[in-house]
Amino acid sequence: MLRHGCLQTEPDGMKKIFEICLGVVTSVGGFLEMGSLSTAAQGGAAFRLQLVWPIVVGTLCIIFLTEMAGRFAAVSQHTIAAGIRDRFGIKFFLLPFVAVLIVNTLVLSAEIGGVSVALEMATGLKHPWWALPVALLAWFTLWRGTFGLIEKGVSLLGLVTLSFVAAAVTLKPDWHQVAAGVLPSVPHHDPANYWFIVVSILGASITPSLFLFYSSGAVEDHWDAGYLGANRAIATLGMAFGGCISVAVLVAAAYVFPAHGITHVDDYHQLPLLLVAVFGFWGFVLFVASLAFACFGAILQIALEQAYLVAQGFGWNWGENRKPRDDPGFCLVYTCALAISAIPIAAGVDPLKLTVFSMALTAVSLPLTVVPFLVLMNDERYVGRHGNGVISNTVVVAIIVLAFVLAIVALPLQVLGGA
Amino acid sequence: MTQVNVDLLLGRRVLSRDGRRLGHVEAIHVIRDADAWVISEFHMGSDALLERLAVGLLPRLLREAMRHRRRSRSHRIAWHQIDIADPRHPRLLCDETELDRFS
Amino acid sequence: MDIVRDVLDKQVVDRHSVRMGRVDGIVAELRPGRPPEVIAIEIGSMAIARRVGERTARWVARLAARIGGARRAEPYRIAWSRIRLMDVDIEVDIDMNDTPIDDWQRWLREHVIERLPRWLQ
Repeated sequence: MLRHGCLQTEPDGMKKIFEICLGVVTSVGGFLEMGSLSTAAQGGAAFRLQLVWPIVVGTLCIIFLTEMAGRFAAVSQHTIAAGIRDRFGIKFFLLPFVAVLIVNTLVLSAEIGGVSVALEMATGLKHPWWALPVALLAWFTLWRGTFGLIEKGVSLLGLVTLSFVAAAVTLKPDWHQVAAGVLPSVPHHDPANYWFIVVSILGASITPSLFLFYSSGAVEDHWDAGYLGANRAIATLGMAFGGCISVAVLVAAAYVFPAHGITHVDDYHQLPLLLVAVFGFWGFVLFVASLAFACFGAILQIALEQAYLVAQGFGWNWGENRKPRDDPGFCLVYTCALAISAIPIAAGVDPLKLTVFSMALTAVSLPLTVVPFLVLMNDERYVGRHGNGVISNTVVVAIIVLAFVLAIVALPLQVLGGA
Repeated sequence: MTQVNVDLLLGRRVLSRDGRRLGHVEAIHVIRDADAWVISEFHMGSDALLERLAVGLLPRLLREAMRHRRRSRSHRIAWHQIDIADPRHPRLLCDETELDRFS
Repeated sequence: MDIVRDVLDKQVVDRHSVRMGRVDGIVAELRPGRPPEVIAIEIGSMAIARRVGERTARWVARLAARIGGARRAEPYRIAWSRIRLMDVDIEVDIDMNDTPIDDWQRWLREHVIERLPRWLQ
């Protein structure tokens, strides 16, 4: 439902440009996380430059989805979760609700695992010991921090992941081959593994948590219809540049791992090689910092998204800028989310295996969130005349169908093939 | 005077007087009557959740055509033509043929 | 007005624009020979459980009764006459602090948050 009569003062040009730049930089810094890193590394090691295309396809899809998420929030003044409950009723809402809660729990575990692994590499203390301290630090940041601090501050730290781009460029890859990898291709060997990695890369790029969070962020930042242009710029440039970092990881992996005789990345201890092989000791430092900051940002985002989902779905008070005493229920959810997700890592589950599995699971669950979202994007009552065009609908539907079909085919194959 | 949760009616199958399945409750219309709001009619449509979703995704022109087609198969049930004492199992009180279609 | 499209599942806010929950149920009174009158909206997990299914409703009722006593087994009702505005949100002429809807959050505030050290609040 449109808010009629909301006064929009023409925003100051310079201020807008600054906001766009900040938004893009924030998106870039916050793009890479355990999922995209692990899947790109595995893809590069096993199939060299052939697997650039799932990253491109996934990034294209997330560009469309985040732009839509921002547009939806700005025009309807609803978040996506609130919109789904609003439009479809409680019974239908419970389906994507439960699916996203479960998938988010696993992905959150994977991210906690990522930071724990980074700390293990830095200190030598095994990663299960770090799970609870990391969760506690994340909890404290959410408890005391404001949305602005979390969105911008932590994401700016994530800019250290640009070291992967530096590494990829330094390796002087054959850019013609990289470009060739943009086109989809069939595997020359090990098809089960190939398609499984395609599925996990797609799941890592198109996380529902990302565009759900983006719509909540737009409401937290009080976006309105005046922000549509800025939204388009931020979503497109931010996600596109972020996708380049994933491609950089793949390229680096394609050159570094085979040269060291690694075709299967199945141990997280192999990952630092990506930067160590190029920058030596400083590569190690950059890798640890990249992994730690990128995954920590993802922890905050996913834990918050769990809280947003529950609070918005049930109509509670919510908002990261509020003091915890004003919305105890909201805070309880992210507290529980962090506590629950820390358990598998503390119990010793392998972070890399958990990550790849949760990415594939994400791909399977995509239709449950994206289809209702697309319906909302075409409903005049919510988005007025800013609804989706045929192209947006078609592209997103096509990619989601692709991801889903591949997932239900590739997952059993991989499990049966004995990962 | 019984009180019922009319939200439970949503999506429920409507049965005819002789127990045949007719359609699903899609909408509940209310009008103002002095100070109170009363239920004036119910809208019953065909099932097809997929159809409902698909309509949402189609481009605007096709959507209007689809909506028109669906409305022509929907019925309006006035408040006195249906028994909602058990909201999970609404039953028609009149004959099907007496129901108004959408124009 | 279609109460399914325009009232059910919409956000409810109180007279101070504080979010109270969503319209989880709508109650109508059946009167012989006259059209049913909508008399109240319901908020609460009980109403949601009822919409999910009868078994779920019984299970949630037992759980709620065990935690909070028999009165918790029924969802909270707001009289239809209290609704002031039905636009994007449903505005009701009630102060949320006067209702039991927020009781659990109040409990959290008093028994957990207030007990934390000052610097953590």
